[in-house]
Amino acid sequence: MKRRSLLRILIGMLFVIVLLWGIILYVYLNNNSKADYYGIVYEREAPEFTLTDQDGDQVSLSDFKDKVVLIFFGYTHCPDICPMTMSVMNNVVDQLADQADRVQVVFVTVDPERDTQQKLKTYIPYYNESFIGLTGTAEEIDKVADDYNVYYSKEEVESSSEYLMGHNSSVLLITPDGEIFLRYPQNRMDPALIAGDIKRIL
Amino acid sequence: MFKKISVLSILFIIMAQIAISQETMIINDAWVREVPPGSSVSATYMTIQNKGDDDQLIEISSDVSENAELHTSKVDENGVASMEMIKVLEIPAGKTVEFNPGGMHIMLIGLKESLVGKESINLTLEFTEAGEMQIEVPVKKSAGESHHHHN
Repeated sequence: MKRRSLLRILIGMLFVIVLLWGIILYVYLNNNSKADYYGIVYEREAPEFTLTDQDGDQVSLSDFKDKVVLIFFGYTHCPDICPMTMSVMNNVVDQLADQADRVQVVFVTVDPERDTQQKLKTYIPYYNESFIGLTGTAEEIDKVADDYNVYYSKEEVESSSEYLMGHNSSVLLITPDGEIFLRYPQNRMDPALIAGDIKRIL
Repeated sequence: MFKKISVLSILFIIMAQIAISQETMIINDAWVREVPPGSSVSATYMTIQNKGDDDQLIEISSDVSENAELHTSKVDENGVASMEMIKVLEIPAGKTVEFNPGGMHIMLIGLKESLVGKESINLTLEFTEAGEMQIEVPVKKSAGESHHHHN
């Protein structure tokens, strides 16, 4: 009688241990696989938007349902970070080779005042013919930036009539099922590693 | 005889000056970013090594832009990138300063011509001690973006 209950307790304890071990292993593996991505895991539903591209066409996020979307906010009068990011994006697409057509790079201006459709038409294809540049009215841009938690502000340049824009400079990766899954800040701009994340997702 | 000496001494003075200007500020890896046609701004990168006394970079100009200013890109904890102008850059004796994408750079403001297809531009840097320096800066589409990352 005594032995039996002892056995029961032992089996019960064993069961709890195995269960706990399983939970720990599950959490560990889950975290570990996410930590393996080069980008910072973000996991948020990507808000829908509709803006105007460099050809004057209306473009929505839902147009790219079967693609990985790399989206970032910038402006064409940006001397340093935006051209650098564009050039990195071009390199990422290059590295994807035959999978390149399953990726869409989208540039959204935070400076609709100067970045008209015509301006984007000379700017965007210079980096890559497949890239899409989006503009809209100040209100439309405000709304999209707000939805994507992007901050921006005008900064005057002392020596000229030029102005700069302070803006969020991270690239966001949106999965084919519409989730902002990864975020690439400016210190994570290695094209090979970004391409590696995309290959894993596709 | 006297003529010979004076010619020699002039030559010596010229050579000494070249030697001095070459020795005090050494500029390496300079390049300017080719930007899409119609762009009004670009950025120039380089390293400046000061082999002379404590010095300051006080003035920059280029032959392709109305203005040139030293700026630094800063990204805050929220990922917001913004630019800060540096009016005078102190370059202590023996120090090397680096201008890199995503960091300090010379911003060319008001481009007068497209950089697309252009081989190089001329840049003039003025230092308090080392004086004026003219350098030829090659135009590149991108440099290093595929090979190294920035921290």
